[in-house]
Amino acid sequence: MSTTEQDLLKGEGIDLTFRSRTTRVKALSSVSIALQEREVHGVIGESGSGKTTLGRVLLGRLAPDNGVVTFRGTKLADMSEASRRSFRRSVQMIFQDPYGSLNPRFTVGRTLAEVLNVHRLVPPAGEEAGVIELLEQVGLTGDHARRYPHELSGGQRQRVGIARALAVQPSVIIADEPVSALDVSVQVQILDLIRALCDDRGISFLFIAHDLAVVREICDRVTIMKKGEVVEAGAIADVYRDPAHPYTRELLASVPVIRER
Amino acid sequence: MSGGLLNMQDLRIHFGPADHPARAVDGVDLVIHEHETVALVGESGSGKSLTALAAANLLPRPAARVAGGEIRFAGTDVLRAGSKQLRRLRGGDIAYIFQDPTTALNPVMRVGDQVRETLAIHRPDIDGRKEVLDLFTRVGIDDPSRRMNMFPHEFSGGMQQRVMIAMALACRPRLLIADEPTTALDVTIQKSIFELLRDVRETYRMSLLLITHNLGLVSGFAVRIYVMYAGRMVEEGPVSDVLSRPAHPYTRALLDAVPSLDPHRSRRRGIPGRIPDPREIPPGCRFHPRCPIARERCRTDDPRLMAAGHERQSACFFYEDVLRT
Ligand SMILES: Nc1ncnc2c1ncn2[C@@H]1O[C@H](COP(=O)(O)OP(=O)(O)OP(=O)(O)O)[C@@H](O)[C@H]1O
Ligand SMILES: Nc1ncnc2c1ncn2[C@@H]1O[C@H](COP(=O)(O)OP(=O)(O)OP(=O)(O)O)[C@@H](O)[C@H]1O
Ligand SMILES: [Mg+2]
Ligand SMILES: [Mg+2]
Repeated sequence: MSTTEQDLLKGEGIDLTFRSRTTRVKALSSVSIALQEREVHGVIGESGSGKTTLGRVLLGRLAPDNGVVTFRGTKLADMSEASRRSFRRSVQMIFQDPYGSLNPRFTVGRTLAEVLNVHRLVPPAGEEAGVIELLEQVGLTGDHARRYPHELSGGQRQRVGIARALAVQPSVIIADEPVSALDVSVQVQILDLIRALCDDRGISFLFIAHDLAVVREICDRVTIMKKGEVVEAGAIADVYRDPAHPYTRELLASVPVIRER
Repeated sequence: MSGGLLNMQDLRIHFGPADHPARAVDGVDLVIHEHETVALVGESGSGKSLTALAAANLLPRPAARVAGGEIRFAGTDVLRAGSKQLRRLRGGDIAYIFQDPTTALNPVMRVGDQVRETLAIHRPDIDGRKEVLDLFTRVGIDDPSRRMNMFPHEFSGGMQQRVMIAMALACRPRLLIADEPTTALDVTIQKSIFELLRDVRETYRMSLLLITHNLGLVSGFAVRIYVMYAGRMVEEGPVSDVLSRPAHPYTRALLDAVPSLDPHRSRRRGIPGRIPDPREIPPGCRFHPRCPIARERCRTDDPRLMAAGHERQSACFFYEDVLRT
């Protein structure tokens, strides 16, 4: 894979094997992926194909056995402690069910205020103003700051998850199945939010998903994985119109469609 | 009550204080016939799982209270069954595949042993190891002889659900309740799981209740569909009729929200607002605050399911208008 100007976050030739005393699971083998500026990049693949693992490698949380992760042209391994810290802020991850990652005993406001404080990002107008601004960016209101996670709907919790990621002003958000647990009726709102954050704020998304229809709706490009390898990558229109790999064709043929009479 | 393998009438399930309960299931009628596949759809929180759990007497007690109604399974009064009848019901007659496999699997026991345990209870006469290998192969677990010795945490979410399905099939139930069985699986495996379910429901002549958000999975798999909203059934009928010409505005809105692979299809729409909290179900029609065609009457009168054409029911006063659109 060649380096282009726009490559923001890149993994090249990534190998990763999980080892325990009894088992070895090769989760990624020679995986390359390049996330560009201002794009929503879909990653699709069967369960266990290594999508989450790839996300964690790109996040810098898992060190690959081979291969390099580069952020804005600098190898992660070569980064100074200061640039590593800034990298950790620049690349955020959100999850399928933010419930597990939100502290159930904290109000939404406290969770967000804490992130602002830890990263010394409280705006001059104060903590509360900062929290409200974050909530408004994701389509919630200051009213939601007083609520606990269990007092929110799934869609609202996902918005809070996104707000928390936005708190540190990232340039990349790795979204691991962010709408998979949501009703189709509220998915659209979250997808619109992600699209707007990309188009208006220039945040790039690695959008991990298993729904091909959802990926078609929101992504610019897509990478298709199978058993730890990339089998196909390209622009959405091309891949969906003219899939090159048999596995992609199989995926497309497996999408359940509502049969109208 | 008559006709079905499973008959539910006016089921009510409440949580919280009796004077201000959360009416999570609020007067549900549901029938599943022998060898019939029925789908139950609706947004998250509408009461689908509670309805199905009640059928197998698996409600989270004592939090959940049955505040009314009756359930019969093959003649047994489910809600008043003795412990012996209950054991038969849960273990053999009805199998339940849960939404979240991580909570249903024992984290400290090898997955193969978990399935063998189920087999040992219900089919003690067979070769457990061979049957586990066979079941694992059927549900699409690669390298089953190695995988059966692994622990749940060593499996990805999708693989765990396949173990759950193997375990449910192990007791050869008369009614299989599949509660969002493939939500975490990729589409090719989803397709093969549905082929598997199709295959076993023929082989074992089971009835099947499929709970899902995915309307695409319903068509071509289930014969009849129930659409649930805020603790009530709002529409019921043959799948092909309901999906091609819905008789309730909620069903129509759900259909409009389904993502599609077809690039020419107009942009999908969400449903404004959210499903009401079961403690604060709005007066009148419970869907009226989100309904695009709500009128004055919908704010005050509470519609129940009414005949809406051949073998169809809708809980909308204006179902004829919906059918026409
Ligand atoms: N901590 C771990 N220890 C051992 N093996 C692991 C670990 N995490 C993941 N694996 C294995 O690595 C492989 C890739 O897992 P990963 O979670 O990345 O898949 P995925 O594509 O995200 O799957 P899903 O769609 O189910 O979320 C799987 O075989 C999984 O079992
Ligand atoms: N143990 C409980 N205590 C209090 N409320 C509960 C409990 N279990 C369920 N509920 C409430 O009952 C309602 C129906 O829940 P249920 O799990 O049946 O919904 P569902 O239709 O299966 O949703 P999903 O699609 O998310 O699985 C929800 O509002 C839920 O919050
Ligand atoms: Mg994953
Ligand atoms: Mg449920």
